[in-house]
Amino acid sequence: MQGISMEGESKWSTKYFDAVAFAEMNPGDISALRLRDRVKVHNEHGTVILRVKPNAKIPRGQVFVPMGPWANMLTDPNTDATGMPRLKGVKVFVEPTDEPLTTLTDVLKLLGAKNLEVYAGDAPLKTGVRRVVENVVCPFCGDLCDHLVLELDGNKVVRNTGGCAISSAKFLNYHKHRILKPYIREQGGLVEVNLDKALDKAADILVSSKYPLIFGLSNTDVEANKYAIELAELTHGVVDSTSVFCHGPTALAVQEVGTARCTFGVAINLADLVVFWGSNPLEAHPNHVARIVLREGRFVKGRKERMVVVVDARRTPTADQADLFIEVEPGRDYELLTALRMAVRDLDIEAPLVAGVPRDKVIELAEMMRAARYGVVFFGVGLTMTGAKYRNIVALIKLVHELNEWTKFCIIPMRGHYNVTGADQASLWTTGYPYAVSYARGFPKMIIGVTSATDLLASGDVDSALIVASDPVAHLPRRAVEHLAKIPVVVIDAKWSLTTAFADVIIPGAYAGIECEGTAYRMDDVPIRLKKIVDPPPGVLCDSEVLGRLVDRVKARMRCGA
Amino acid sequence: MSEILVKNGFVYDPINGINGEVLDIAVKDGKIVDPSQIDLSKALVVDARGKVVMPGGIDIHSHIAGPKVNLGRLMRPEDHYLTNRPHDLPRRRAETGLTVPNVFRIGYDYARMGYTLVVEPATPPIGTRHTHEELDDIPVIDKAAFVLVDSNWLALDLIAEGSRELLAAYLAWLLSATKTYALKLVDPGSDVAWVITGRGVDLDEQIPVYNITPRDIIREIGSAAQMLNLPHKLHVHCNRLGYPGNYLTTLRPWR
Repeated sequence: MQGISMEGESKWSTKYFDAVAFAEMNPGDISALRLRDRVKVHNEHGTVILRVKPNAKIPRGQVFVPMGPWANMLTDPNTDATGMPRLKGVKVFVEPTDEPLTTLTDVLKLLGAKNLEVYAGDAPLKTGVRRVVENVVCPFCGDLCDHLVLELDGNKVVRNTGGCAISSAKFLNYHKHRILKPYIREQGGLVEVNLDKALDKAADILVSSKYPLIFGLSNTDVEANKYAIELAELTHGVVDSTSVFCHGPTALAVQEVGTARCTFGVAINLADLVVFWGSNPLEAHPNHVARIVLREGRFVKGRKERMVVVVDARRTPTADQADLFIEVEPGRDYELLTALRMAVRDLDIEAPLVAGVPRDKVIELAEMMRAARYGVVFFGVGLTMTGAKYRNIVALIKLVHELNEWTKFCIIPMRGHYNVTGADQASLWTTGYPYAVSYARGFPKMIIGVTSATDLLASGDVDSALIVASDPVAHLPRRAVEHLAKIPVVVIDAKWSLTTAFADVIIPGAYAGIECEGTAYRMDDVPIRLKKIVDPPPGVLCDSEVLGRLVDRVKARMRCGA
Repeated sequence: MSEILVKNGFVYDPINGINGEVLDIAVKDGKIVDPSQIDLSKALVVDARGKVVMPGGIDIHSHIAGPKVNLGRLMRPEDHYLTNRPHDLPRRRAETGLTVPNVFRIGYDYARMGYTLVVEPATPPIGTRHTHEELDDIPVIDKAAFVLVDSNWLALDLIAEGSRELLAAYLAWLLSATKTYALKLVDPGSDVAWVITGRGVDLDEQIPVYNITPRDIIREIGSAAQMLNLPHKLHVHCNRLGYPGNYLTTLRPWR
């Protein structure tokens, strides 16, 4: 729902409010607390009043609030030196209340938003000529489905065949709620300006900063990423991507113990055991199961020859389709992984229950893994964000290494944003590090927990920010967002994100994969060329072109040759 | 600058039998010409007294780009801790890494060593767009890549069914689609054997499912390269790769 509301309209819509501003609780807890329609949720970080929704799948004593600015009022900016804020497993108090629900405006004001104006418009449509474009790549999630067939009426997308519901929402609504003009903030309000003036102001901000943060980059192409890294190098700033709060911990684990990877092709053609750990593809990557699990491959005849296991903290729709579902206690995956490693080596597990899982089930899963001809573990932020964070992934990779003594096993991280993998890759070949790269000393340095975006913002270390195709205000803990209210901020985006409320310069960017060509990397590290389907709105440039011009302007101001 | 005069260097040019003579070398519009054709008022003149002037080095086998190289960078953050050289903008980007340098250091270091062309000798077709992205970002030097076909399922099918012309056509398409320069075999057949049975294969062992041997792959892909008249016929790392003493295996297909 969150994906569809974001892509369909925007985060300023009531649909988004309905999709993320609520608290799901166990009906037992709701009646014990005598909650009616709303609940007050608070801790040392903040307080929000949310609609309460009963959900029997939520264990007692837990509250589920979807990722968004409401949840972030309560999340902990402490990353334990992993760069990953504590977005799940946060301790809160809940109590009945009659106070009004916390609106988006309330949240933004509490965070210190600079302005609440939104000048969203629809890109002009010109219908008449109908055409069909085949083999379109979907720029939404890390699956980068490349089999879409789009039907267009002029530059309006009227039908998306092959794409999931989120993909359809993205393509059919690409023209809606757009940033169509550049703006700069003057005397507290946004003023429409021409592109040159906006770029000049953005360049001035970057050049006059001591330590700018360039952030986002997972929802744009590799070409834009390269310019963003160059900007950080030029200005002795930091460049970080949203990897830092999704699969950043996976990269940290690979730095420690290596990895065992494969591509989708291997999973489709060879895997007779697929494990989803802490990920729910049916809702977050809706085509994933059809593309990989159900598909008939060369050596595996589709779903009937392929076992599916789901390990998660709650019974998700994906879990309902699995041959084996293992419900792990939230935040205790590390224990379960350790027990699995013991079971794979036939060591005795003394406890009858590990991380809430009966010992027999642990042994059953270990047996399935050893007996598999080829196993693939797809794992999500349910594993990277919780409990031991990157240590979970270290344990998973060690398990997979050990299983490779018996059979063949590999891992693929379920990457969210469509090019978050490409952001990591471009950063690696340019800087040697996957994300969170500081050029403070004129060469790249990644010191996780120091040069990572949440830590830099929460501790007030950066003095300006350039946000590219990303929405940190919707994703980062309150204390990190509050710093954006205190420093000059430049936003380059296609739609009005919540971060535009903190922007001093707003520059429209066209959509890669819809309005611009470019390269993106699938979650299995395979690069896919994004297609241009329609022209960008008049006067709107591709992200890579905007950033390229910004690089030229910054170079000119620093007198190092444009 | 379209005219360059390199003066007074010790010139080495084995093809033309020049072995350390002090000579002037002139370049006009990208070609070496007689120094008399150079207009000294316009030319860039380089005094190479006491230095060697030689043709640019060519390294046809150096793993400089692609998925495996980037994975190496990811796995070795410690390689970037003490190997940094700050940028000198706008001329030089920051350099980092020793065993797996970043793209900038790869280009600069090869240029410093006198190389002008370096070839990435193993790129899997599905990852070759990535290889080209890194090659594109390596400054100064010329680059090319060889595409891996040692366990390519389509190629193995065609070899198994004896479709020689189709195999050549497929390999020609692969070279063109991946914009690579030559065909590469690494431990032929072992990758496919590994994913099916968990172990690699020796030169004359049967590859499971396909019922051909690595020797068949080398012979058939070599013949296809011959049929296509490729300038660089075939680049082979023979079987038992990584096993001590495997030079004996490497020598066997030559007989």
